[in-house]
Amino acid sequence: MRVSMIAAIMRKELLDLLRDRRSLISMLVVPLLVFPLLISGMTRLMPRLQQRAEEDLQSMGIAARVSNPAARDAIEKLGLKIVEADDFKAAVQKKTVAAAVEEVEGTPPRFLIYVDESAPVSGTGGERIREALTAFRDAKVRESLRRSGIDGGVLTPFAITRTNVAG
Amino acid sequence: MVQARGKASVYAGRAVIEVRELSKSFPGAKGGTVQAVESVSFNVGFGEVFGLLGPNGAGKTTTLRMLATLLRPSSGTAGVNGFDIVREPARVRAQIGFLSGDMGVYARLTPREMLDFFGRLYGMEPARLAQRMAQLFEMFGMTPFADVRGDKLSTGMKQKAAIARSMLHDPPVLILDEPTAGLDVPTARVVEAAVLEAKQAGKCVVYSTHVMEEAEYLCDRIGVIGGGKLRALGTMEELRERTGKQRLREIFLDLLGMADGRTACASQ
Repeated sequence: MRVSMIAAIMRKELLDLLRDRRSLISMLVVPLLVFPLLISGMTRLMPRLQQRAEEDLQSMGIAARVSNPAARDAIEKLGLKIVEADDFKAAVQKKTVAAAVEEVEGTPPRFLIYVDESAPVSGTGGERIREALTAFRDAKVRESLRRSGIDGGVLTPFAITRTNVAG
Repeated sequence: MVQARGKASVYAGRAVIEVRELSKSFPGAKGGTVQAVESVSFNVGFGEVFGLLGPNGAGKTTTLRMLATLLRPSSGTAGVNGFDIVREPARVRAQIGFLSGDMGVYARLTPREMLDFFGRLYGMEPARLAQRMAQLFEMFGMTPFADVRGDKLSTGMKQKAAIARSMLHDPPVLILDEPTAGLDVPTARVVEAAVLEAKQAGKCVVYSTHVMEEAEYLCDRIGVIGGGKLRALGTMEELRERTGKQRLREIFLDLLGMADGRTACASQ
């Protein structure tokens, strides 16, 4: 096909497109108006959803079956209500608790966190438990290093901080 | 070889279109196959208007679409100005101007823009293209609506634009599928005049229509197709002799076995 033919087809298609209101609306109006509106809406909605998940987490509480006293103490320090439950999986599925954590014996011991990812409150609860246990594990590592005469600073040779300067 | 309309003498020179045992079958809706065209053969020469008549579903459009290389024959073949429709479809397309039943006028382009677009696709020189467009606008009285978008045109205007497009590159062969369908009498007369002008210019015209008077008026020879088969082929005189009828309407019905008012033989 000759270049002039390709140019003719391009010109025709462009002309056709520019005169097609529906195509123009979907190409210009949607990206320029609808997408920013959607993004703006989502930006406003997400903090509200997060706040509501936190409130629901406080009222629902979590279930915990942890024999290690220090680990249990770390979880209790979250300040969340600890609820009794027999079957953790079923309790999370039925939403009687936001999330649950269970210590499984072994070497090393394992902490199993139950969450229902379809429910924001459960995801938030599971994340809070994970953060508490991670902090507990880091503290244990630092304590072990200290006892071995190694400075805990080897674990964090530098720090990273992120600052939000948005008004 | 330019012939006057209505003369009994018909093309006797080199065939421009040579159709040989052309057949086309399609998969049926409930399995099996539908034989749309079956072993159709005919020739058409320069300066001849060849009419293809038949009831709905007879196979006219399928035959024309095969000639225009838009459909590949199931068997048989055809030559257009020396080029084979199966082996040399691109060369065949350069020889023909094809008007299909659906017109194919772009809704958001004006007739001027549409003709300009097709002229460039045909590789016409700009000066030649402008000259040819002016000729066609004059011939079809298109100047008043040459810059009106396709979706604002009447059926007649669209049909004029579509015919002008098929004649734009001045092809030696015109294949016109029901070019006057849905047109009022004055517009149909413009189309008929254009066909006669093409004939006078020595072009080969294959013309499909439902309008008997039109076929009788325009066509040098007529092929009657029914049920995918060519039932008869000849000049009006030859068809009259064969059937003993005078008017093409009666000849047509007689050839299709519908002279007593029965409804169909298209599938025979």
